[in-house]
Amino acid sequence: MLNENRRVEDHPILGPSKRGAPVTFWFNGAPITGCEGENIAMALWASGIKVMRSDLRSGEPRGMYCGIGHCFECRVTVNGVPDIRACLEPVRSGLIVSGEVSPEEGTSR
Amino acid sequence: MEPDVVVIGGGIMGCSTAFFLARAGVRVTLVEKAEQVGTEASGRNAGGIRANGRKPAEVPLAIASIRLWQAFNDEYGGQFEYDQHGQMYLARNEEELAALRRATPTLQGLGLGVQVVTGPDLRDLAPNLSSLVVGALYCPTDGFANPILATRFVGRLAERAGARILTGTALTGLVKESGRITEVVTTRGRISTGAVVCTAGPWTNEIARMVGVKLPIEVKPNYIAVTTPTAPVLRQFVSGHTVYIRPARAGNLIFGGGAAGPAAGFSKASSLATLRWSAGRAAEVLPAMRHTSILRSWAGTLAYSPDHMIILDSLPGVANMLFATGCSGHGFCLGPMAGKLLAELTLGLTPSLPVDQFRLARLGSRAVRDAEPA
Repeated sequence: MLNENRRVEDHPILGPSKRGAPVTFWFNGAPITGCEGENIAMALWASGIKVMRSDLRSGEPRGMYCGIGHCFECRVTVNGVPDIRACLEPVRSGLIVSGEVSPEEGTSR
Repeated sequence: MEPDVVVIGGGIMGCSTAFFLARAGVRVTLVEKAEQVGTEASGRNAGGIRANGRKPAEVPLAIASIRLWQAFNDEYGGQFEYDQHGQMYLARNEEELAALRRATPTLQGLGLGVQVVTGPDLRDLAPNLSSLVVGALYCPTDGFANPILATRFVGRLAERAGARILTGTALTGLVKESGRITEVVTTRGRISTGAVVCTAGPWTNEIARMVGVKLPIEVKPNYIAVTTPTAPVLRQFVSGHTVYIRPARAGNLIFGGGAAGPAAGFSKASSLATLRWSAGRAAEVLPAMRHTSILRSWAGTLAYSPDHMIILDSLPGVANMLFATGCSGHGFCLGPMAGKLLAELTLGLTPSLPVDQFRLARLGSRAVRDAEPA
């Protein structure tokens, strides 16, 4: 289910969101429905997933913070390539996205 | 109320100067062009607090400054991620190792507990360095801190001691009467003062030029980058193979150096070619770096003197203005003690360390040239 309220429709700097047809990709093994062309972080948020990885030392949850590619907090592994910024990388059908999330954090927060 | 002293420039040296002056009961105002202290070189360096391998004339200053850093950390409760994990100058071959061995007695004679380490001793200290490294000159009392937190901390110490710090206030002129600075002109008004201390790093050139003095300071950027966090792979600050690497508390690696001779000037534009090259060199020293990504890179602006050592002196032709600059990349470490010396000299006290070797006169004909017409 897409939750329209969690999508940024028109960003003051980045402009209107670019959303194509609904497609399925994978996050930590679970299927996620996103829109082709929107960024991975937005699709995850729309599916209720805000935690994209855990801090290596503290185990604290990490996710989208700046939303414009600057802070690197939302970095995930995409199709085997580490440290991709979820807030910049467009959703494509079948993408395999993973973040190292501590088990106790769960996937939704 | 008019200050007794105006300090120009809110880097680590200016904040330290303001602290030691205020602590001595002097009314001191620090003017800083940026909206916060420590936004230029003092906040943009690798945070090295180290004496290893410095010129013999500079080592006592570095040792004294490290003691002040320890005091800021221990007695004043500074929270600026200060770790005395040691520093190593790396040798890649017998020739470099021999050079490090030759440098050792002089450094030891100056009170620095350095030793050359090789073989198992080296691997025990730094097990993840590559086989490129055959030995190192190790200084256990050296270390590093978070330079942004550290400079802001010393700025707060100065304010707590009674100094007034005016941020967002850039110097635009100096009023000189009968060989003395009587007023400092800023973007937020004029300040009458009894004395001036200039700690403006690479901007010291243009400030000196306001009173007709040309200093032999060359301005150059330095480039630094930080990786994603990794499991602990390095404990010390290591320098060699033309790069340096040090760990951060959060597990990231901070590295820099590399490309020879970046373009002179104030530009902070990063170059992907430089970054790629220094990252490659760093990974040759510490192969575990290959499993990290670079999070970001940045540049700072450094002031170099002709002999790459701090210049600390009174400004020629001005009776009541001191300056220090030209730290040539060592300024973050030296800042606290340089500030203390500047405060002592401003107060007419005997400085805690001899300063003659830091004065312009040591440079001979390279010291001061006539100012160009404004």
